[in-house]
Amino acid sequence: MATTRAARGNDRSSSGLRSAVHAAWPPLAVFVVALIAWEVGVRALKVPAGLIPAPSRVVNTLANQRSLFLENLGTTLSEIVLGFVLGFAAGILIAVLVVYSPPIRRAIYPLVIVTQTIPIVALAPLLVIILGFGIASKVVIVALGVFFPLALNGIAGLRSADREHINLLRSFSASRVQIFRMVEVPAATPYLMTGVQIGLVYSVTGAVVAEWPGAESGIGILMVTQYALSRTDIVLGAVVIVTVMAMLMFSLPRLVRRRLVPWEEAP
Amino acid sequence: MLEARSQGMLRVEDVSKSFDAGRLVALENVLLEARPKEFVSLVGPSGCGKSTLFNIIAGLIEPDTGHVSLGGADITGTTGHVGYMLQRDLLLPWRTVLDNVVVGLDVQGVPRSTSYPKARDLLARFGLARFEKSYPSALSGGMRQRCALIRTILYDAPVFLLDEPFSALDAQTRLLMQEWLLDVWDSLGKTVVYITHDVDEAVFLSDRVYAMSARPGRLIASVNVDLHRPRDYSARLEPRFLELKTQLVEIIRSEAEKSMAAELI
Amino acid sequence: MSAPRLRTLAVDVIPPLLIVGLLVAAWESLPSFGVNNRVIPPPSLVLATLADKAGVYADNLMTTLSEMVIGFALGLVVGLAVAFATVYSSIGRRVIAPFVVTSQTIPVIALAPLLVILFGVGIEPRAIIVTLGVFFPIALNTAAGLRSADREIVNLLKSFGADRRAIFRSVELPSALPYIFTGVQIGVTYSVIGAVVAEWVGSGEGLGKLMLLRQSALGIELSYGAVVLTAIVALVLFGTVLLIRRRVMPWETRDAGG
Repeated sequence: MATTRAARGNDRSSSGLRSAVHAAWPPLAVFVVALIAWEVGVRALKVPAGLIPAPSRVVNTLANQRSLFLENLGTTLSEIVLGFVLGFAAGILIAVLVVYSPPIRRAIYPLVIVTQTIPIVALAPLLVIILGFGIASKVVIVALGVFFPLALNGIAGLRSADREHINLLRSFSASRVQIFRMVEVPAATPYLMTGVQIGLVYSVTGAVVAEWPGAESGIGILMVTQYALSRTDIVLGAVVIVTVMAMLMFSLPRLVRRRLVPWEEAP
Repeated sequence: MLEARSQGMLRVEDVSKSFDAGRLVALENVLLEARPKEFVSLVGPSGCGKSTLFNIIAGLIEPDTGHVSLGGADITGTTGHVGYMLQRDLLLPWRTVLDNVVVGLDVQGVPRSTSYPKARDLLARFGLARFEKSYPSALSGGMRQRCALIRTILYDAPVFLLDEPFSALDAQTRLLMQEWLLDVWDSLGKTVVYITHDVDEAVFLSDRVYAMSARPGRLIASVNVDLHRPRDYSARLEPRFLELKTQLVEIIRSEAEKSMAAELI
Repeated sequence: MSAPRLRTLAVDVIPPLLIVGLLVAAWESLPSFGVNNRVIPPPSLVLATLADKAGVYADNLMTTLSEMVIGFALGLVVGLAVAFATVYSSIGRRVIAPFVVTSQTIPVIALAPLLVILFGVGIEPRAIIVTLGVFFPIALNTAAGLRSADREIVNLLKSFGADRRAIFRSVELPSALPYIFTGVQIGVTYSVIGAVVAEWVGSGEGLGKLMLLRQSALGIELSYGAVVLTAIVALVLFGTVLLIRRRVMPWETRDAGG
């Protein structure tokens, strides 16, 4: 039995790829068909480009207006990265404080639970009023959205450490720091990774939407301004970029997860 | 640090422990001794406080009264003197097999250049050399308990404290593990305190068997097992084995009945 | 009140309340630190405006609520339909799955400008955004819930000769309930965000529109008030669903559903 189990471990990567491809092709096929239908439909019905541009036109615009898109993408990406780092640090800090300090837990944990229902993005307009049109308000929104899953998952993860594992280390006379490093942190890592996945996916929409109330630059504000100019092709181009970003943010952590949490069994 | 631990007599003297503000008395005036290199077992009905006693000897909880000493030195409430093994293997899921078995030495600061060769040697002896880079999830229950045993051996404490380490395994694996344990104990000369509810196992393995009463736990009898060593399966077939086993079963049975009756109240 | 209960109250309820109190007090005192109360109006001012301009708030709240309700209702129906189709019909599963998978990755709210272009201003595009965002968690959770029914219990009932409907009613539906509620909770939270954010694009009315006001002192106060109101609406809706959940399924442990 043990041999088959060990062997299954090596097989994981090849079968994973196979099943991923197997799962991907129906949506892909549907997507391609939909694209073709769209292109044909727009041409045949002579739909005005300001209303629904053909996919070919969108691709064209993406290529021609490369620099416009890249510039704005750069701003939004920096909002995401900065916001993520901030939210990550804050989340971990609060998680550690809540788990290891009973007074802090009593004061803060209930607040964290309740405030997670408040729609963070709703604060965007206020932050624009307070912090101006620069990236600051967007960074805060992204940070808040990343903070919650990280803090909550971090707390759950640290608490998930098995009492008996801790006792085992204690029997070796391990110090509190050693126990933290050797048991509690590794136990929390899968939870934190999940928190990172949730946070990253959120941060794309968070940054983009946080730009709508006002921004100097960014994919989100590009959408809104170009919508007002009836440049639907640019708006669609921006939507494509946002979707690709979201997909990347969704799949990147999953790829990294295998390296950071190598002991997890494949589902 | 390892060198300083003496191989002396293990004494548990007058230990009592209660929980829930005195409402639950787990142990009452327990007196237990294990001479150096002796194999001592503890049998008793479930809920008799065996595990509480185990944790007290390991230094993980403090008794309300009494103390634990090793070689004359008081070790009550202090950790690091025993090698510890439970029914659950407690292998850390995020460490490979090799890293798991050296974890006790890692904590003690022993460099891996020293601990790895010893670990590999033991893994090879127990037939696990191929799995040194595997994670625990890839191993079967019996293999994992073997790793736990290796981890205990590597830590090299003078006393081994084993709490029903093989009871979750299937019968054949259990018999193999028992013989392995005796081999290890014989070659390393450790003091072993072994907890089990299986009288058969206790008599087979030990020099002496203590019987524990139902809650509140007290040690009510001590039976010397004078079967010759080294022991193999044939020992179980000797008439003396049956005598000793019967003696203990009688003592335990009435305690087990008391324990069940208490649960029905 | 007995001593232990009083103690729980003191230990568990007071510390967070104290922190909230401190934060509100700090917010209120900001003007005395030189913070322009046009940029950050103190809570007293915000509340005063809420009371003063209750009519304005009420009108806009109505707009946003109608977007949320219509969008959620539609999303609920579509979500449940998709869930049932994928669980009980293999053809359904194969046809629908690709769409569901794709809709999972496209950030729905980002489509708002597009939908406004297509459907013009008014509540339609906003309701659609809510629907698109709500149907997925409901579909996903409901499907998971229906499938969570213990196979062995189902087989047992089949051996008693129970028909499809009876099995559904007595096993599959009760097992699915916790999941459906979770999906509804997620959907309800999303509909607040979806409606409000969708209003940031294009023209029209609604709480989201109020939030964009910043040209005047009154505008800014209205903006803050709208955010506070939105937060309250989100909390109330979530809390209501949670309460209903506890009534319908009183056997669940305290952590279930949050």
